Amino acid sequence: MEAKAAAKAVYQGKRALVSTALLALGVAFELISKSDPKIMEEVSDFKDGFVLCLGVLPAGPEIYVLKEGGRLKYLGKKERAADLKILFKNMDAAVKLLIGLMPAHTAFAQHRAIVHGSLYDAMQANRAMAVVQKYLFPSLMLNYLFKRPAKFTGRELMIKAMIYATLTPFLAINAMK
Amino acid sequence: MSYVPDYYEFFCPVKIVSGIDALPCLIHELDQLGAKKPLIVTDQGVVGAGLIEKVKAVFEGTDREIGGIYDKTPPDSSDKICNEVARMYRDLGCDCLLAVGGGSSIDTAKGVNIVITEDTDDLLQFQGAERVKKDMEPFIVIPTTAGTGSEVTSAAVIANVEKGVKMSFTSYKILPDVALLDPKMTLTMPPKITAATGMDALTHSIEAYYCLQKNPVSDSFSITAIKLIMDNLIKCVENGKDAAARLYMANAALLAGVSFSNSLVGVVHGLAHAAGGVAHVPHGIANAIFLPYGIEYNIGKVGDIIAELAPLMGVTDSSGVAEQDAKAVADAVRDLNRKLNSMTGMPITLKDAGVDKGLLEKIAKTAINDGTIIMNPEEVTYEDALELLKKAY
Repeated sequence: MEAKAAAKAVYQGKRALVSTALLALGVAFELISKSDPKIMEEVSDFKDGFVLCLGVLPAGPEIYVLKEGGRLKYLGKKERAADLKILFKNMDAAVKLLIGLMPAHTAFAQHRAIVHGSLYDAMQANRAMAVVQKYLFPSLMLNYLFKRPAKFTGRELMIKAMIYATLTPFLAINAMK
Repeated sequence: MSYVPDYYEFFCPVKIVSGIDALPCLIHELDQLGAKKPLIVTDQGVVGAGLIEKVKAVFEGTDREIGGIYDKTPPDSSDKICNEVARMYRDLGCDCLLAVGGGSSIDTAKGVNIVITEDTDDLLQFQGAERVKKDMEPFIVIPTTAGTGSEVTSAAVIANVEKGVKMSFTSYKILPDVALLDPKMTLTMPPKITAATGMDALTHSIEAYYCLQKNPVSDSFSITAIKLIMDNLIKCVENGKDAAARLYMANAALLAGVSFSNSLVGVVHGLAHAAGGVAHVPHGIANAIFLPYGIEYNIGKVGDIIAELAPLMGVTDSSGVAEQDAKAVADAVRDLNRKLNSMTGMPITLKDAGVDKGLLEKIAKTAINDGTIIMNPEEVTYEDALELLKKAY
């Protein structure tokens, strides 16, 4: 019984971690889309009203991000229709990718993440997610996460600093969505 | 260099029936699946080559019957066609799908099977990976080309006419039950198509060997496929009636299919899919054109892995330096391309393939959104893709 309770506690801990990481990702999508046009270039083929879902199988958590008016907007965690879903097969896979222990290309190569929807759209979403990771993770980690080392312009470094400074209050504002 | 990834998955439950006079085994295989009345999915080229008559002959003197024949499959199939064929299947009371043809007929049959089994007329909702949950109708494939390997792959590409997009379906459920390889079904393939489809199979096996989803099981399939192709492709082009060489090539395409269905492919296929979609370059030809450039592009990341293929590609004097041996693999592909070009006229540049140079940017933009790009070892940006296209032009 104790082992079962411990396993449950570990799972709940991972779920809380993933939930928070997904919230940070969703909020970062919104913040970065206001600052760096690169992310909007990556999703330029998404029509206005396009909804992207990132989540964990079989029962969440998941987040929804909307493209609207040339920006990305974090919609929250409540289930809704999505044009594209990128789903981790289990909580462990989600933990590894979301805290930077596994590159996205490895997650796909190892079948740990799957796509529901168009692969064409998924590739754009993946590159947009790479833009977000570039700002969220420390530069040293990016060498492991990306196939090619990330380079930063002066402006991008300023955006990175701004994201670090503003992410926490934005997380608080959006936590209940 | 031995390589086992931290984690991998492999799946291929397809029964393989291969050999001279394998075709008459079709009736037994139908019995094994509990099927009596197949619907044949094929195209006009296959009918014109007299191959459906060979299939019909197998049913003579048995109590089985062909339920119907859909012979209008176009080179790029669509959801509308899948719905039409599914209606035919139901109306005629068929109990099994039998694809006789190349990639398009096989992919169409896979799409039809989803429509029938999931009882839908909207394939779009099943787009993506592992969305089909129900067990499919019995499904047998008789390939008439030796290239796509679609008879053993868990993927299908079907166009959505209304939305103007190509939909990709990946599911372990859509794999056929049986792949029946009989060289008599490929003997009539013209030399140029033999060359292009053979290069398609070579590309599957080489890319699967060095791309990110590689694993020890797919590697073994790739290695055997490459050996068979290097030993038999030229023979098939020289003498299309060489049944033994045709059988070897049919097996090579199948093995390459098993490999890439489980290991996926990379930038060569990304560019080839895009060149096909934008500029209508046939898939095998596009793969042949891009393969040497794709190999060279990845040497910086996986040169040691590519170099392992050098002996299989006929590189007899290894330099002992991985980078140089990997470059020799690319050169060996170029030599093979040149030989096939001189024998059949198969284009080996995009310009020869009739591509308008003004389309290169559009091809590059499409290529970087192809699902295969993520499995390529080296990063591929729009600028990288465009540079590769210019080199291949």
